[in-house]
Amino acid sequence: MSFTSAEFIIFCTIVFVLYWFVTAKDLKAQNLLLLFASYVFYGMWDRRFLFLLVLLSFANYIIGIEIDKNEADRKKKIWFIIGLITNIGVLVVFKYYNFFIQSFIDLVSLFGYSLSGSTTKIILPVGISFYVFLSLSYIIDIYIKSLRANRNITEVLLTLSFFPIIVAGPIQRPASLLGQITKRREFNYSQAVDGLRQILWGMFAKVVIADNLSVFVDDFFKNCAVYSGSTLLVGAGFYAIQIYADFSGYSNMAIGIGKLFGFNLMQNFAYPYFSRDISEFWRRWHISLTSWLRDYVFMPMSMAFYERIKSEKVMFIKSNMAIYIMTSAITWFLTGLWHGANYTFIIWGMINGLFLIVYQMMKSPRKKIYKLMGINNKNLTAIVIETIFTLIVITIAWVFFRSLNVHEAFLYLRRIFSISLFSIPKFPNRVAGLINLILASLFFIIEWIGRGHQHPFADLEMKLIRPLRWAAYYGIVITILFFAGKHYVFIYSQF
Amino acid sequence: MNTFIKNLLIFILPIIFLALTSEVLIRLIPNDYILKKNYLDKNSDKIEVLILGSSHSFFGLNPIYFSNNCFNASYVSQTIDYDLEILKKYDNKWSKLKTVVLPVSYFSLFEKLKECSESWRVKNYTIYYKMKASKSFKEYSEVLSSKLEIIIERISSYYIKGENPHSSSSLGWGNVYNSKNGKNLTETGKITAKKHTYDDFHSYPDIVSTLQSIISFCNKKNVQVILFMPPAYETYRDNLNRAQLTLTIQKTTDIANSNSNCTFINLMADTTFKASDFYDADHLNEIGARKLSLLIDSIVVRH
Repeated sequence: MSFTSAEFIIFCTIVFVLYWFVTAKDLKAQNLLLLFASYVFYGMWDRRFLFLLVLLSFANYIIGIEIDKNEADRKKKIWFIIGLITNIGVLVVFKYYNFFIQSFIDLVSLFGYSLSGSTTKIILPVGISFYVFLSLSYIIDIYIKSLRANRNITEVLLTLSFFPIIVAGPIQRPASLLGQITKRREFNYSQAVDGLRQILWGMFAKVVIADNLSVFVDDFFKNCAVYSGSTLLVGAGFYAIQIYADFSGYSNMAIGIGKLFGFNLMQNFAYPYFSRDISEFWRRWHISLTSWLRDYVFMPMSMAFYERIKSEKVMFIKSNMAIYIMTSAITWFLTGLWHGANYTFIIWGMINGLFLIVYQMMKSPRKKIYKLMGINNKNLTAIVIETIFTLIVITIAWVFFRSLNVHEAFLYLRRIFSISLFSIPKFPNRVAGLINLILASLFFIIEWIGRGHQHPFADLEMKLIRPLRWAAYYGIVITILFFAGKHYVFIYSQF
Repeated sequence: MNTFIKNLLIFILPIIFLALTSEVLIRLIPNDYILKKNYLDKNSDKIEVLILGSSHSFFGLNPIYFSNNCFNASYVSQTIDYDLEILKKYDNKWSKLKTVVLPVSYFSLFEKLKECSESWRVKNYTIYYKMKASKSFKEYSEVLSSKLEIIIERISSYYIKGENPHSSSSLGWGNVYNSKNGKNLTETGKITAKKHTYDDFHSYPDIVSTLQSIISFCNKKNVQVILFMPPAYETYRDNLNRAQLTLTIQKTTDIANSNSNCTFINLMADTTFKASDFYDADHLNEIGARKLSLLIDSIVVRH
């Protein structure tokens, strides 16, 4: 049941009415209703794995209590390790089992040995990476005492399965979400209207921009051997726009739905393509994941390295930088792996990690060069050049992310950087291609205008009088209905 | 809360009103699905030869050239699972049915309507054929399953321009692929072959099993099944994936050999069909349809 389906609109309307009109006065009833709705919602995505979701969140509820009540370090640690093994184990079994087995067989074959490994066809449960990470942060936070285990089973299960975020995030911090679940929610007109605006913008991004571009992107990637370099470069650019519109669209809808039920969910995108450098890009893209990895992987690992490395230099590199390189490499390897059991994702993660390391290393030389040239950091030309460079790096990395395998990614890139790069791009359907370019430009213009807010329509009330505002809403609705193409599943729901 | 509900209703009511009006207006437009369903409702107990399948039989087989009482229930992008549904829908009414004619094209064993680019047509089977062919709510509504652009175009072409909404004869043959408005055979050959080629064969086992169900269904009623691979122009044939084509031919031959009520004939490269018989590289025009219909009829009569 996708957010853009008619079924979801009906489902959400029923839950909304029951939530605010039937259970409004009783917090317990409201939470029970949301929990039931969350299981119905997940069950309609994937009935087979609803049991896994319920079981895993129940296990985390028990583990959380056990970690919390055991003051003795040993017992506490044992429960914490059980929690880590349970959550990571589920992820490994369902998401990475075949990948690891196959990779091991491939590795052994490099040394001339042959293993006949048996890989089993395991179906990936929808949203598993998202709810496992949410569950992990729940038990880690309890272990490091930044959160007390909640004894109310409904509240914990709801935190770990809340329907707007269960399929593709944003990955909430349990402390923030649990804090809202345990408190009485009052209907807030402004919040609800803002939620609807955010849903509308998200739907526009997904249905009009992402879904229509995917027709071209699928064709370009499937037939990259026949298209010219210039066409494939446009195709890579189209994919960069598609994945942003798709995922930010989903996130905006999820956050907007949360607002309708009185929740404030964390922002997942902050206009990342307007970033000047790769570091800024990753502070603005998929914020809930990057901040999760920063807080639970990068920072603790850096601290651990700092405690162990006492020398000033490690292999001729300042220890600070060496630690940064090591932790970045591991974190970005994990970021890639989190997205899927495929070398393409790992390479994509490593490319981003590499450019972040280069960016960090170039920070002070860049300052010196700018000083020598008399260029101010706010120089428009410098900003534009750096922004374009960042976009090129990101777009090239996306080619790996989108390709089915490494071979296809290299073929695509080889075709881009061929002599045909200097030819005029050819589209299979020129009119549709032009319309998509116009719509994508309009999308980014609106994003640029609204970039100071959580979503571009957030301050529409201040900017436009009511008739104009409503005309804008109707305009968006008509555009959605007019350009709605074939329905494509949200890209990130597959992770 | 009251203000929110009030404003929301004021905002969405015009949209709902327009959507409902459009739904009613579109459903009132006659179409080929209604025509076929009405014919089958009234005459399924009189039909002796039933043609099923995709556009290859819709445009390629004209019932008027058949010796027996024949009806063409095929349609554009109708896949084998929907052919079976049509047979089942009139399960108790096929009292005179002797032969079912079904094309097995290059893509037939790999394509399901629900999964292909023509999946928007599923609603026609739920709305007009009254089949429970989908679990999706939108497949039961014209407005929810079509683009606004198409809705406007359909309403304006019927109600304003007064155009004929039918593309088939009263016996279900697709009569709009005319020799006078044929397409470029070279260009369509390449494009269509690419479109019909599948990277993965995940639907293959299911579809083969459905095809077997059709044959078994017919066997129980003592009905012959004639499977044929439709004629295609060389520009289409030359661009096909050999593995997909070979698998299709081999599997269909095996099925025909293992079922006594089934015959398979491969007409893909039949030399009877010339360039002038094709509307595009994989569809026949009215001249080609006449040839194919007479050829299939001779096989039907022989059986």
